[in-house]
Amino acid sequence: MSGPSLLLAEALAGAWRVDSGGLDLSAEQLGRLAPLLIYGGEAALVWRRVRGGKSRTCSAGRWLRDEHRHNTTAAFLAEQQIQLLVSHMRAGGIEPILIKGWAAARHYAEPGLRPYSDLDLCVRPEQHSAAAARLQLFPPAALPVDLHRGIPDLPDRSWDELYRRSRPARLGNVDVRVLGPEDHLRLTGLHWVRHGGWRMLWLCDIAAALEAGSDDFDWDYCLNGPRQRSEWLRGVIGLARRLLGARTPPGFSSELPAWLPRTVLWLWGAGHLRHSCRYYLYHPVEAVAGLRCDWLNPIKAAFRLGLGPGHRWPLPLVQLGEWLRRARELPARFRGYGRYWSS
Amino acid sequence: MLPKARLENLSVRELPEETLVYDRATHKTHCLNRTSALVWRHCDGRTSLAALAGLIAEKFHLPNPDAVARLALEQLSRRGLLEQPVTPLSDAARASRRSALKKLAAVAAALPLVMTINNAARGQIPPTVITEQPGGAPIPARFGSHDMVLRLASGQPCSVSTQCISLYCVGASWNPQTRQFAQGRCA
Repeated sequence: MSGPSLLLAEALAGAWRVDSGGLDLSAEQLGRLAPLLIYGGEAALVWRRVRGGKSRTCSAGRWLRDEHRHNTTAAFLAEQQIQLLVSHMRAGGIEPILIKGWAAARHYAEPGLRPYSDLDLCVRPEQHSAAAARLQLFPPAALPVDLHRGIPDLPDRSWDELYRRSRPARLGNVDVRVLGPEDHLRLTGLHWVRHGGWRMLWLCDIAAALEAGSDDFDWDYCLNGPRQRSEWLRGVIGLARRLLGARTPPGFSSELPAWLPRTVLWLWGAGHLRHSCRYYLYHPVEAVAGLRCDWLNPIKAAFRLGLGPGHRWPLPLVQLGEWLRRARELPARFRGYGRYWSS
Repeated sequence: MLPKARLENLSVRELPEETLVYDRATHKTHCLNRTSALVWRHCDGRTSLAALAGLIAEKFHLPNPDAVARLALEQLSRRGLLEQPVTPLSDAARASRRSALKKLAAVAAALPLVMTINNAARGQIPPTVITEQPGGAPIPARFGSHDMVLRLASGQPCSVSTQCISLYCVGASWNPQTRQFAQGRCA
C-alpha cells in the first residue's frame, strides 16, 4: 500500500491511550498527513503523539496543535450541553441514552482528543414524539441534536434489553445514560461498517472501546446476533488490532480477508468525506470521487447486500450490485429532496 | 497589588503544555503557557506581585522574575482574566522592563504568553450562528446523522460544504494532488 495510509495507521496506533507513546515524524511526513487528519477529526490524537518530537513546531504541527486546542474548547461546550440537555429531557419524563460522540470520547485519555459533530440521543420508540417536542423547548446550543427512535445500528436488540444493560456515566453534576460496554462496542463496530469504514476516528473509537472493556465484558453477548452482523463485528475488531494495534482479549480470533484492510487503507489515503446527494448536485466534479469512494465502497456494498466480510464474491460484482440497488433508489430520493425544499 | 483571577463564566482545562481557558461570555479561548498559568492560578487576591515573582523564580529560575510576573499580569488583565484590571506601567518603566526582558531571550519559552483564539471568528462556537430557525430549535439531521452537518453560518470561512449550514460553500475545494484545502465561504 503506497501513500500515506500506512503512516496514518502508524500515527494513530494507540493514540487514544493514556500512555500513547511518542512518535517522531518529519515535517514532510506530518505535512502529508495533516490535511487528512484535520479532515477526519484525528488531528488532536496525532498531535498528542508528535508533540514531543522535532516536527512539533513545523506548520503542520501547529495546525494539529490548533485542532487540539479547538477540540478541547469544543469539548467544554459539548459537555455542558449534554448535561443541560439530559437534565432537560429528564425533567420531561424522558430518559435518553447517549450514543457515539461523548459516549465514545470518554474512553479516550483526554476530552479534547475526539471531536463531536452532533449529539446522538436515543429514546424509547414510543416516546419519540414527546422527546422531539421537548427538544423544541431546549435553547439553541453549540451542537445539533440527532434524536433517534430506539438505538440505530442495533435493530436485533430490543430497547428494553439495551436499556436494562445501559449504565450511568458521570459527567460533571449529571449522570448520563450510555450503552453497556458490549452494546457500545457492537454499535461502534456496526456503525463503522454501515458507513463503509472511511473514517479513521471510528476505528479508534472501536479500539478505545475494546481496551476499556473490563474483565466481566460479556463477549458472548456482544457477538451474539445475526450471523452477518457478528461476522462484521469480528472483522472490525480484527482490523482495529491489525491496523491500530488495539489489544484484544487472549484467544480472540478473527480471520481478516485480504481485501478488507486494503480497502480501509485506500479509503484513509483518499481522504474522502461522504457527502449528500444534494452536495454532489452543486459539485458535480467531486461526484466522480464520491461515486468511487461511497457508491462503490466495497465494505458498504457487501454489508448492504447482506454479505459478511469473508464473502467469496468478486468485489466488482458486489460493487455493481450495490450500485444498481442504489441507482434504483435514486429517483425516490430526489423526489424526497424536492418535497423537502418545496416545503 | 493583590491580583485576583476571574473565575466566573470560564471553563478551564489543563493540558500538559498549557492551560486552556474558555470564556463563555466572549466565546474566546485563551491559551496560557506554563508561566502565565502559574501566575493566573496564584492570583487569589492574597498573593502579592512580589510573591508571584518569587513563585516564578522558584519554578522557572528566571533572572528577573518581577518583570516577568508583571508582564504576565498585564497579559491576563488585557484578556479579562483578572477581576480588576492591572494599571499599565508608565512609558519609562515599560522601557526599563523591555530591556530587562531582552536579557531573557535565551529562555523565551519561559516568558509568559497568553494567546487567544477567537472561536466566533472561526465560526464554530457561538449559539447564535448555529441555529437555522429563528425560534432556536435544534437543527434536525435532514439527510441522516452521517452527513456531518457541522453548521457554519452563512458568510463563515469554511473548507468543505458539509461544514456549512447551507451545505454549500463557495470556493472551497479539496485538491487531492496537493492534499490541501482551498478555503471558501459558506453560502
